[in-house]
Amino acid sequence: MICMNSLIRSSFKVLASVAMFAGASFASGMPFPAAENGKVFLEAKNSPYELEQGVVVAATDSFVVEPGVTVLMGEFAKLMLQGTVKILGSSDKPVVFCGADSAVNWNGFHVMSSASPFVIKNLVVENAFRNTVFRSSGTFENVRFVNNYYGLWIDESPDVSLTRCNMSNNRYALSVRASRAVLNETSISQNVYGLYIETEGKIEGDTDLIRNNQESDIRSEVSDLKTSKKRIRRNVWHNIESFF
Amino acid sequence: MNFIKFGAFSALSIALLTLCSCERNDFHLVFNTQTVSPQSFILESTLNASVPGDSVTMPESMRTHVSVRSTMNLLMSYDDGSGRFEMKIDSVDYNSDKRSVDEFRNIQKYLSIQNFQFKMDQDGVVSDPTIENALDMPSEDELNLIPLFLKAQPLLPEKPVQLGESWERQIPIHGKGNSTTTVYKTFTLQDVYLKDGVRMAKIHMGMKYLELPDTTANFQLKSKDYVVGDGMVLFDVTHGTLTSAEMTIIAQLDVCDLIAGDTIPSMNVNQKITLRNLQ
Repeated sequence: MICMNSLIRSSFKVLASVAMFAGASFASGMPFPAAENGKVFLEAKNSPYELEQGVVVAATDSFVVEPGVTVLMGEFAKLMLQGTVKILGSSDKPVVFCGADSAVNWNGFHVMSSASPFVIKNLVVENAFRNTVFRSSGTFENVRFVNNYYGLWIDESPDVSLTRCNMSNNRYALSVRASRAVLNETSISQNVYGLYIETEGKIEGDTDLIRNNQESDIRSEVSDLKTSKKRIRRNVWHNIESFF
Repeated sequence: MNFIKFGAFSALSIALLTLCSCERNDFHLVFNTQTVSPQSFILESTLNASVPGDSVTMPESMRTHVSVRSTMNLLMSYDDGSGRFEMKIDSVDYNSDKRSVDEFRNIQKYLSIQNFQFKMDQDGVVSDPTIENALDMPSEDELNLIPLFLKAQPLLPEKPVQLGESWERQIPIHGKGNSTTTVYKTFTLQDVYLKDGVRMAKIHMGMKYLELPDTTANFQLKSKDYVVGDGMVLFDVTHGTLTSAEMTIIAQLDVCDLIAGDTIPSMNVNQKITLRNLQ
């Protein structure tokens, strides 16, 4: 009888320890995985993941994300994607990239995968400073950019399409420079600035859903330059910065 | 005779008591520059600059943010009480809304190797700050972490102080090119308290300096009035280490860009610098 009681007591202790360990690992999140066999694979069963620092997924590795995955980003988190990108959320189980602390910005995700077109579906991106697509082509479908400083900056990218995407509560929702972006049923509203077309930026598709932004819906660098007022040269800002 | 002895004894007792109570209210604040173990810091700076615009110039603004995680190691302690330290940069996060993607990536890259060394006295005065690899020296329009660190660094009093007592110090901060700005800092000991058995000092930090134009440069800044800063320091008196320092700096400047032939009056600049010890 004594033996049985002690067995029950020790089993209880083991169960309690396992439960505490599981709770602790959930609270801190699963560490962001390294590439295995040329692939960084984020699985729903291991979600949420936590990314504290910057990570580079090399051009030789693919980045694949299952529906329902959440990645909690630390203050220094930056996701540089140089290889094939497939972020495949579903409408009922979107993928979420958000700050671990909602009061602090994380750096953002940066797609630089020139080898093959990226596919990003049903993703929610929150609280990043700047998300970029640089020298890459691909598709965003049902992607929500919420509360970022720059929602999405497309730079030197010949063919990027945004289908049924939504951008709200960003400071600068969408910026397009030296790139071609095609908008289909994409809503850009309730941001401070909506769409900014910089030098050699081209926008195709429908722009009807770019409305109700605080400062401007669509701005173009070319038309800004045509105004009689002078803009301050960039090197002036850079000098101010280096003085302080 | 006994009366005289008693009187002398009483006077001595009162004098000793007074001396003790004085010492009890005096706080000797010094940095540990001899035996301090490595410490990790986060240095952050957020800079907002704006031009209101007028009939000629469009209203515009800039926001930049840099966050640096670094480790400070004591390399050598000297007989005069000072020590030589290395600030090793562990990681950098930088962003700016006036830079291209390529530019901010390059800036992050060069800031992340900008390790620097300096000599620090027990009162926090920093001298000979040098970037370890001369090849990594930032060029004129690049960012330099050393002035940021120096603006946040508190200077402690040269003698013990009491609660509410203030002290003033001035330090030269080397800026762009050969320019040197004398920064006047004032401090007031606001509170001393125990936290988890550690004695902490809360110190108010004020700062002011004049931004004078470097007449040999193509790009000149001039402040209409003093550039002023206001902040707070938490100092771990027990271990002689900085716990945190924050400083908000406000400036109004006239900018002269000689190459473009532009003069931009009344640029408002607001900078917040924080330095946090992670221990």
